[in-house]
Amino acid sequence: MSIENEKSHFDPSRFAMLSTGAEEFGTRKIRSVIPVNKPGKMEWVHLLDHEDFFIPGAALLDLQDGGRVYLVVPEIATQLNNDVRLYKLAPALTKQDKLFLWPCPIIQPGERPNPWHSSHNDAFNAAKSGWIRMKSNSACGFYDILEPEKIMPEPDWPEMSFTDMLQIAFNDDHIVDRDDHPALRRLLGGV
Amino acid sequence: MIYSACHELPFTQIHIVDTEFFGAGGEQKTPVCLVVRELLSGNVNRYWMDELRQMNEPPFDIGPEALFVAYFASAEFSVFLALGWNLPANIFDCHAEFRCQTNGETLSFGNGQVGALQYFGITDVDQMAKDDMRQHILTGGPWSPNERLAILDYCQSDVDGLARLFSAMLNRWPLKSMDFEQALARGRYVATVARMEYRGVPIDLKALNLMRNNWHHFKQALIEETDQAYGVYEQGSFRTHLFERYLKTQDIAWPRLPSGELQLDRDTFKMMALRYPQLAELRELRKTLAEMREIKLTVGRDGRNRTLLSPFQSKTGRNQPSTTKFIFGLPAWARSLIKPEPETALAYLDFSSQEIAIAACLSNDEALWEAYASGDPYIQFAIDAGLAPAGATKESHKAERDACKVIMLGVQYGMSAYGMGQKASLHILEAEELLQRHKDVYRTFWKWADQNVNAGLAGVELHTVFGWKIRASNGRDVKENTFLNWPMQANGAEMLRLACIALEEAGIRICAPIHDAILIEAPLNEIDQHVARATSLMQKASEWVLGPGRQCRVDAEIVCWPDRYEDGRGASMWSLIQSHFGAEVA
Repeated sequence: MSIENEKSHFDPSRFAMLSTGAEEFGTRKIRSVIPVNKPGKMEWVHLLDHEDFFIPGAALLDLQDGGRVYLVVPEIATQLNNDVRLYKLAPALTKQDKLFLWPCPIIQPGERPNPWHSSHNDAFNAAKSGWIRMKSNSACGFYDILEPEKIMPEPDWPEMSFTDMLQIAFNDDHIVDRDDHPALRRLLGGV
Repeated sequence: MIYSACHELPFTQIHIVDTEFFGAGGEQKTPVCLVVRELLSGNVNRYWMDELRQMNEPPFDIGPEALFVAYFASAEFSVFLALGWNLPANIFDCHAEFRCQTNGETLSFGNGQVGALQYFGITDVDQMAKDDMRQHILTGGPWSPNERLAILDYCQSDVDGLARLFSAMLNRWPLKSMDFEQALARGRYVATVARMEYRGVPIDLKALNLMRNNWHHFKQALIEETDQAYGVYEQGSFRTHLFERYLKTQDIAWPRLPSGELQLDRDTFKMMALRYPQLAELRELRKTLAEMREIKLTVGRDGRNRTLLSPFQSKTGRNQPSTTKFIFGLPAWARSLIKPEPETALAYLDFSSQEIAIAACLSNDEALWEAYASGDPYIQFAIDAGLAPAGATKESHKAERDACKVIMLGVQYGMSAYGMGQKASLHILEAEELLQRHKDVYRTFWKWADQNVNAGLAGVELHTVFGWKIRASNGRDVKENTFLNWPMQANGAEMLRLACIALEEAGIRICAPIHDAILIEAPLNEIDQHVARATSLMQKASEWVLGPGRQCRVDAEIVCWPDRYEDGRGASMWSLIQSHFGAEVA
């Protein structure tokens, strides 16, 4: 028996299509929920470090009822004293692609040192340049900040404006922009 | 150029052909008659078996200027090969093309020729009458002159129907030049299938007959022997409560149904046997008892296992031979019945980690290709994911590699983190973590895979490199995992088809295609040369699918007469068989 040692006559390469046909089919993720919270203790997170995506002093009101927090406009916030707290606010992504707004407490001048807050700020800053995990260390009274030994790839940031993110995160009903807002009435015992 | 009618095709003659034949399972076919219609002239010629036997070549042009059209053409080619004829240069198999164009649709009348005709609204075909006539032909005669005439008329009615079908297909699905070339490549594969079916796989007939004649008695002995280590059979039947007791003694947590009963299906047993190797023999026993109530392997008097390979029958375009008649469909131990003929050798050549190579190349994920090209994609993933240091090896980081292997293979099938954890003996959180790392490291692949899934679920037609298609039709129950896995499987099937064509046309004798592998045979003193040539051609075939400069590795295992083929997964069962039957199956 002899086998052919020259190139086979069969050469289909001229009619190959190196694709699956799905290339033109694009999709886009619609983000309908954007939570406002600090990172979960199991979550690796990365902050979007851009001046257009940052509020240096956002006044947030937490009614402590298990519901979402309220964003209070500055004119109202000044009237509420200790009921609101100022936070730095910026978008962040988890490794599981959860987009959220991360509120990080601002340490006011003269405020009594609080290791929870200062380590929280350290984590917030560290997350601007890479993935981190923020994990409470109750024994020591502050957050441990973990970073991976190996560089993890940068996240794919969603193509959304910060205004749109805020709109989705707070809707209209979680922005306190008038004196008779139901959240204020609840706070003051009126609702 | 777009072809939408027969006369537009670039051929001087178009032959629509049907044949009738008979033959017992495992035997080569005996021709009965052949009818051919030349489509452009309308001429019809009918030939009975005695006329055919006197011909050294077909009574029509099969050269490069002519097109051969048939439905499930490998059947026609079984007649050609029985008559010692060459096979046509250009083949359009309407079955392959009908399957290709309707893959993913629900076909009310199936994908046989009658079903295809009904798909196009051609309904004047009596299926019952066809079945009756086919049964009559399978008796093998002798037939009276009137019966001969009826058989020829029947054969011609199929040719007439096929001519209408061919025109309807071109009209409904016009073919660009490239589509047509791809269709001809599929036709070329069908010719290769016919050669493989004709040749068959060499079987140790003596051992087979001994087992066949004593099968019932042997099964009892097999249960007694194997069950000694388990104690889960009672009077020849598997008892769940005894298995519960065994699991308790072994401290094995077995998956359960919502009702609380043990989940005893085949996949669960397979998964658990991988996790707990002590269950492997019990699994093989159950598989053997379930699938081999009797030995249905179809073997001819010449000791060759022959059965329909059923090309293009699965969604991925893979062959779908019978799991009871085809030797590679039986439990792993049965492969030891494969034995080279005297003075010959067999070689089993398979593409190594074919799916990973396809995923890497078609998605253009360089990191995944680098992992494949490293020679051990699993350890490379462990390194890339930070689980093992650079320079780690299969030996130095076995556990990490095993876990990564499960993840890498599992993602191709859309396996859940839970499933991966079960298979790799990992906690679900560890499996989730590894899965996340896979997504991080091979992001380009995941983006491509997501795109395929989204497009597939949306009803967009997906295709392989050489044009095998799938499209989810309305109302069809489609699953995400179908479109996740389809590009790898369907392109893998295509790679194997191209390899089979290349090998056969280079004069290498293929006995059978097996998923991502090919079994070849050659004289003992030439096997090394054939393996080298086959390896090179398989690598070339992989390059046609993967793109220039990228090839799959090919592994080869040679079995020389008088040894027999062995599959490690069935080794312990085979040794039981040998001890039961003694020297006869040594």
